[in-house]
Amino acid sequence: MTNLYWWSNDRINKKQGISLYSLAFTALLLLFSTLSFSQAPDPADIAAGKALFKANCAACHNPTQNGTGPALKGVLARWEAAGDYKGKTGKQMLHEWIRNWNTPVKEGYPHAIEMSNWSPSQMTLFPALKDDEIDKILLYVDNSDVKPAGAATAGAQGAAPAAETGAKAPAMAIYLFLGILVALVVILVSVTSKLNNVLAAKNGEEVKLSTPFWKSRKLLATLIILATIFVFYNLVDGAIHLGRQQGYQPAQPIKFSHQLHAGKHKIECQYCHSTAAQGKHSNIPSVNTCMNCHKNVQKGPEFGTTEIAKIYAAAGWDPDQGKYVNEPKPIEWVRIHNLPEHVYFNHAQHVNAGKIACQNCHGPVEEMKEVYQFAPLSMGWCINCHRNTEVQFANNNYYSIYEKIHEELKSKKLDKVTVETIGGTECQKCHY
Amino acid sequence: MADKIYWKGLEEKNQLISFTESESKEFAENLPVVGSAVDAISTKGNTNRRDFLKMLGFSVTAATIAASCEIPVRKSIPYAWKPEEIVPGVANYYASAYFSAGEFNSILVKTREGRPIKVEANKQSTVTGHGTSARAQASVLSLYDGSRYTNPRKGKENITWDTADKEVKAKLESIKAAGGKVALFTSTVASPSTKAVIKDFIATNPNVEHLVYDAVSYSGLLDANQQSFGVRAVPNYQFAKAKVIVGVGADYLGSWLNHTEYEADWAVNRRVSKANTAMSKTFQIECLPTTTGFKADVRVPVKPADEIAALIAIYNIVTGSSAAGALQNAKVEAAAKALVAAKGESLLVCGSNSVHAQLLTNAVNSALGNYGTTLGFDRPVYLKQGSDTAATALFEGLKNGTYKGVLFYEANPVYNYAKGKELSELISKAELSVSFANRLDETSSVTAYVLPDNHYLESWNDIEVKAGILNTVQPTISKLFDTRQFQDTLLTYSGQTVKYYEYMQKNWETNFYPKQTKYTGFWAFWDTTIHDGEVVLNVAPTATTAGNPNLAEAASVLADSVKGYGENQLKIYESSVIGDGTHSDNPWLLEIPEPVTKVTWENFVMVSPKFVEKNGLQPDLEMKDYHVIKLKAGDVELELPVVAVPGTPENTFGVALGFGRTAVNHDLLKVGKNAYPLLTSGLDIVGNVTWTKAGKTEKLGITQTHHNLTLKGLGGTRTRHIIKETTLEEYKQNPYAGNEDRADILEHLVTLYPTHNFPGHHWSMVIDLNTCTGCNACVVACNAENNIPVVGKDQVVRAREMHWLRIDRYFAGSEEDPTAVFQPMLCQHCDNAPCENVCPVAATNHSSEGLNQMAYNRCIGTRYCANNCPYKVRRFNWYDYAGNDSFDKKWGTGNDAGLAAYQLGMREPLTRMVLNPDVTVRSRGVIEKCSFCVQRLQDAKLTAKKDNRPLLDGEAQTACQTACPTNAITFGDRNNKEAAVAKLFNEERAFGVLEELHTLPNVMYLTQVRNTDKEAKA
Repeated sequence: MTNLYWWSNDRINKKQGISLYSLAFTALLLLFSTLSFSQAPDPADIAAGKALFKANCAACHNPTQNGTGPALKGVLARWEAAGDYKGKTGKQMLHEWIRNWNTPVKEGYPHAIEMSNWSPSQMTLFPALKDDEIDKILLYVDNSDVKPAGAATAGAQGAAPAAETGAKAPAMAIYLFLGILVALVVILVSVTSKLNNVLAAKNGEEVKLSTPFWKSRKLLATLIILATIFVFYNLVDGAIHLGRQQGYQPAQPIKFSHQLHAGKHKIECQYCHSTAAQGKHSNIPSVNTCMNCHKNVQKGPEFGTTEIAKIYAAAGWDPDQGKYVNEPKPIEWVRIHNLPEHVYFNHAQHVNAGKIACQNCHGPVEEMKEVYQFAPLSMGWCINCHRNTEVQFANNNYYSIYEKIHEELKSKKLDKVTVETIGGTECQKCHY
Repeated sequence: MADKIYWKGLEEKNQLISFTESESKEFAENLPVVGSAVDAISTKGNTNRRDFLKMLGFSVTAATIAASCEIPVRKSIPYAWKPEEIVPGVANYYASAYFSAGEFNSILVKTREGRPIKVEANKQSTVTGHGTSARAQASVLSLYDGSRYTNPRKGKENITWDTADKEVKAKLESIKAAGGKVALFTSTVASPSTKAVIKDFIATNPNVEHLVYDAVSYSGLLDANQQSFGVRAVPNYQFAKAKVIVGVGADYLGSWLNHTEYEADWAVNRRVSKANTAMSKTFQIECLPTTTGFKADVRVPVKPADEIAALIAIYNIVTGSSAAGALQNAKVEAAAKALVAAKGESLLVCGSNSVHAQLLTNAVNSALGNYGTTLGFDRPVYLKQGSDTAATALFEGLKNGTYKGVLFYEANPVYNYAKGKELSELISKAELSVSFANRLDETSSVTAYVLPDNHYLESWNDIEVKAGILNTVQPTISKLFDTRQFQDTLLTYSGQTVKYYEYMQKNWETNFYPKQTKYTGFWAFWDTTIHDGEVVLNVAPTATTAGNPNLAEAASVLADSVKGYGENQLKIYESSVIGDGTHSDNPWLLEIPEPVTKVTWENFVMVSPKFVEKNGLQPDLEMKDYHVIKLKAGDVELELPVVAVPGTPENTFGVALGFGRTAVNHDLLKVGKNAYPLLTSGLDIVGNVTWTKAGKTEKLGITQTHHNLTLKGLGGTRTRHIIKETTLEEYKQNPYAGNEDRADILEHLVTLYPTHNFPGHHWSMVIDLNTCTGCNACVVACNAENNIPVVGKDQVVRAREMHWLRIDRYFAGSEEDPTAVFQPMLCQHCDNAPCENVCPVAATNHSSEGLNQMAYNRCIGTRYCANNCPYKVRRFNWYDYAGNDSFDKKWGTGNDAGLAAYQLGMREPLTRMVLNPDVTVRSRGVIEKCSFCVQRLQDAKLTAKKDNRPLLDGEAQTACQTACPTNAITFGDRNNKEAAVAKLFNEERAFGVLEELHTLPNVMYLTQVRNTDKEAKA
């Protein structure tokens, strides 16, 4: 019955598509890195600079794109080109600017005055940064697109899910192979028996013409029973699974990767899905939440600017001007987890009161490039969890009214209090 | 008291066959349903084996096709920019106020994702802090009414606001230039800021005159106060301070003035307990039975004109006068003496719109020294300000050409003015006619322009209920249509560019902010007021000047009028559910059974049972056919069905206002006949009426005998006590009075089966029969909270109404002078439930919190449970009322197309916006019933869990409980020994209905206690 699901082909194809894409991307990156290696600055310095940059500057600056602050690539060259002033080189002026941008402005350095008008927001002061640290940051800024030698691993990661989805194909092949073997055995047996008969006839022995096996009533009965069992099993199984969408992985309007955001960057689930602990729904973040970071992060590691541009389009943000120019419009995501309308599910109950991790139901989201439905979301699955999961019985004062159960726990009559113990499998906990 | 016989209606009293059968029957009708799908296939009306196989084959194929359909892609669209205060799935509440047709409720509007779905009582209000009225509860539905104007209109065409403004302004200017006058015709404007706007408008257009009228007029009362005290306002009645209350035709618990407030105040002295046996004593002298009459300790049924005669009698006794025309009636005398005995702590209220009657009433209250205690002008009430002369002035002015133009705001005189029909012709001839109605009504369908106002839930406003008590109205949703607030329109025409919101703020800053001392900054004052919805300012009591009205003349005028009414008298009354008709296009309200008569969807002629008997007008109760008569009063003739109501005096006829609307959303809402044309004299009594049989019948949906509890116990004798009643005297001596048999019942409750455990909560409810007024606010609240469908008149006639909560009304005593008790009946959540045992699929079962659960998705519709429920509270979905079945939406069935819910727009996307997203919309073929608002219980529990604390008593509340203006409903966790409900559950007055069946109900009732004495009984 599984072939009834409309998405199954789509899912497999898309997975492959991505992995091909990531392979191509990796290849490009490799090519690029070999080209830029000719400049050959010290990789250790660049790495140190990167760390400093991430710690201090990345909130507002991007090496290659304008964000809250201007794009920094070539900044040193620009300041040096602006020339010396009052006995200080452009580089020295830049260092002073970074530590306290007011200093060069007050001194009247023209390039500093020009830069102070770049944006209405004022740059943070970094008085603690030492000269060599600033040099390393500037070195990183100019060489930010140089990848260290280990970059190829990204491609390997991208290819991994393809193998997982391919698992079904070998199974089919094995069944086919077994089928052929069985057919061969049947043919061989029949050929042998025919030959035996011929041999017996030749030897003048009496030929016992046994009824062919396909005319055996016993076999026929067995087969009919087996077929009936098979059909009914599949019917019932299909009916039970009707409407379930485990594994559902629709294409989304933006190729948003949880692997990157939740996995690599370790952004808390509830940073974006902020209402999960408060209410019935765990919200899909509105585009202003995206913009908190993506005002600065203008380029992704995999799709570059194409996907982030979709966020900007929705937010009405013009990255060149650095301001909102259009009315925002919502992004129409495709809903993955669909419960029937007669089911009441409350996120706060599970996340906040029950202290259940998101992954319990949503699976390893932090490993998903594209989210799919991990759990079957069937009633049996819900009930099973309610039977096995312990409630926050001792930790939440709400449960203090269950005096009898507290006593039973104390006297070891009861070893644990599951959701079921306090009525969590009753109809009207979820259906009303 | 225990041997008192109660009867739900005349059918039961007379033990008609149809009634006794219905007691034992689950549904009123036999199956199969004519016109159903099964019926359509079979040829002879019964299904044979082949049909069964056909159906089976079709079902399997259909199911297979349905199963192999693609699962639709559902979008999940977040906010583009999420407002901070909105958490998806968590409701927000905004304080606001409902004011319409003189009725005021301070409310909280519950919104979900920016969409108002429910009205709750604002418990902080000093005016209506206990509950809401039925109409306030239903007002949220009118926001999503299909007949709302979506654009400004000229004639029947939609125009833009720019065009409308240009044209209307030009017309106003040209009328002004020609020296003509324009009338601004409104009902009572209780908003001080709106009044200021109108003042500004008149300042720039001095030829505009503001005429204020009220459809149901209190002009007589206002004018009498002007004469007696120099204040043209409603006094501040304090029913809570009155030990003796006498009502003369004033239905102060149902429809009179601001009854929601009075109900709460009345209930203060009606809540008796062993510790507090002080109870007020109420007398009600009335011609037509009302809830106030049946809640009174002494009800005096008199003919309409005798209400006036009774007033004269009271006047005579209290003031020692000897005016002519006094009614000789021992009970009236007793009432008057009781008033005198409780001097300074008594109250007389009169419902007549006659100035003379109100002058006498004032004189009585003055003589009793009640001013300053039970009523007064410390804070006059501003909810009714209209004058009877206003409508006449408009009519004459339009006729003789004084008024060249007319603007209507919250006014529908074409419908609710006696000469509405002629008025509509005059309006269409006027040079300029504009209506600001927000949805279709009779007046806006004849005006040249309609400049639609916002719905009140989309508007800013303020309401001065009483002097110095201000309520704010704030928008709870952005405008659904291209409408503009009336005040903004007037500001535009006054040449002002300021928005009404800013205007109102300015007005508050200059006029109200200085009248308080609590806040030192305007913004703190403003923000808190908007948040709380109400502010009480320090104002000096309104100065009164003792007038010297000619009481002797007033009494003689009244005495003369009494004589002139003749034998057959008609009383025109305001139905407590429908009101003045402004909201009679609301399907929720139309389907509510009127508390006393239990009639839905129609008005009718209320007569005495004797009248029906004498004239052979008995209805066919099997077919629900009621005889229609032609009632002639003056020049007006009405054709209406006749309904006999016990307690109606002979030769008395009653007709309700508010019906017979013609300009409404759908034909199905055009029910009843308009009684306003009868109000030619401004008084609600019409004398010398005649009648003839119309020779036809009409079907009526009267729910009084729809879901009958059987009173027959073992052996077929009527020994069961559904209602328990006692008198205050008996209660003082024995708290178990009227409830003596309970001990015996409890003793005999034994079972062999294991009982349920309730380790956490044990939800229970206690309903005080003594304070329940049968007002129906709970029923509408339940409808709104639980997505209960409207089924339409046709289905109500078939006893298929879906209300989870109904109010049973039991009469006792004689047909001429019965007493009555109102009993809200809902699922009793029995701990030993008869319904649970018989469900073949366990779709209904018991929870560990004492709830009788109903899993709709598991129900297969056998209806065994409904059959086995002794309380008859289970409802079956005969149709897909809310349109949630995708098959129906796409293709519909011929059968459903005629369904009222479909036609009334209950399936329209606009109307469906009112649905509560936390409650499943039930589909066809399943049983549903009261869930104790389980969604609210779960929500309250979750809040407690999130806060890491135990659930507090009173935190989990049901919708009916929060709506109740008299706090008659107490709900909570019985396992919490400190909870109010736990204490009431063990009170001496508590009893369970049909407890002897060992159902162990979780709903208890408290006995009705009446403060009667021997003197009044005689």
